[in-house]
Amino acid sequence: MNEAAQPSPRAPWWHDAGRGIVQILPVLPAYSAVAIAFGVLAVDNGIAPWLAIVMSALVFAGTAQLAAVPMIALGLPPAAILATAAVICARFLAMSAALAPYLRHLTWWQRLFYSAHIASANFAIHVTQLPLRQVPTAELFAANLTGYVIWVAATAVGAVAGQRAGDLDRFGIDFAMPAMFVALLAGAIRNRGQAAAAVFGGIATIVLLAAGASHWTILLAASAGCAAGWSLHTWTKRGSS
Amino acid sequence: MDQTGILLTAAGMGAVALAIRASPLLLLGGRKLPRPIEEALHFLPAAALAAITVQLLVVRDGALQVSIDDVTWWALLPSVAVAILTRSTFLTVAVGMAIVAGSRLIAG
Repeated sequence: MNEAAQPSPRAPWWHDAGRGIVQILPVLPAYSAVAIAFGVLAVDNGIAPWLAIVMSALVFAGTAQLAAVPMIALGLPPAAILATAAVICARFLAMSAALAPYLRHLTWWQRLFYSAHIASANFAIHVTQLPLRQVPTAELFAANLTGYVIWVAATAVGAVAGQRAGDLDRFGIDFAMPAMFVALLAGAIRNRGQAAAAVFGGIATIVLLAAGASHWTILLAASAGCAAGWSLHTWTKRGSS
Repeated sequence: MDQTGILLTAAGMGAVALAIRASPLLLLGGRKLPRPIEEALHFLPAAALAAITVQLLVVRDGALQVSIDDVTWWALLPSVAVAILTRSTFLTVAVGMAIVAGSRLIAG
């Protein structure tokens, strides 16, 4: 009867999924380049192509995989390799914690599934979108799975073709990821507290890198920036009341 | 290491990576947190994005490295301008990559 009062019909899920795929497209060439490099490195170090592909499918973390290859080739104990992977993955703690407040509507299993595909690019997209609107679940998973599928497929290309696909940096592919982060960061700063968090997070990153914090850098710098933003927020709130 | 060993190591790495990725989301995501923590978490996205952005820009081959010869530094300023003016990820990435690719083409 009263059709005006009805909520607008939900877009079909493939519409949402399509938007998720489009969002992650700009960085897929950069993703592929790293995955191809991993495939090449793994095979060069005596790892069977199928194992390189399985590793990408199981781990889905570029830096950790690249670090593991020489360790495997040297025959280091698995415990050392796992410990290294844990340290390298420390940055995911910051990403996962930042997303947590916005993914409460997902079920436990959906959150677990989502977690498995957290990476820098989709984190950046989702953490800027989620505070602004209710992002459909199909859109979230489509972006994540596209990145994942491309990661595994490009590993296969590198492992099987066994050669670097020319010098991809010629096309500026190495700048795709930084450019995407710059764009998303610009959109993520909407108040003074967040600006302070970003500035402090950025400065802390350089200081920590210079001090040799290496793989702990992102987790520590993000925490420091977060604390700075929150301090400014509570301090100005107290001052105004 | 034999193939079984590599496979098990990869599975172990996957388990470690998943545990790290999932624990905040599963532990913090299910319930409301104390208000100060809830408030503080709202500043984490900007801080984490900034930290990753800066790291992407200053780390080359695993080491802190800043050089004016690096064309990606020169592409940064126009990219920031495009990002702020257009708010478009696509345009920012396209313009940034075009500047980097163009400069490398000219530089030979």
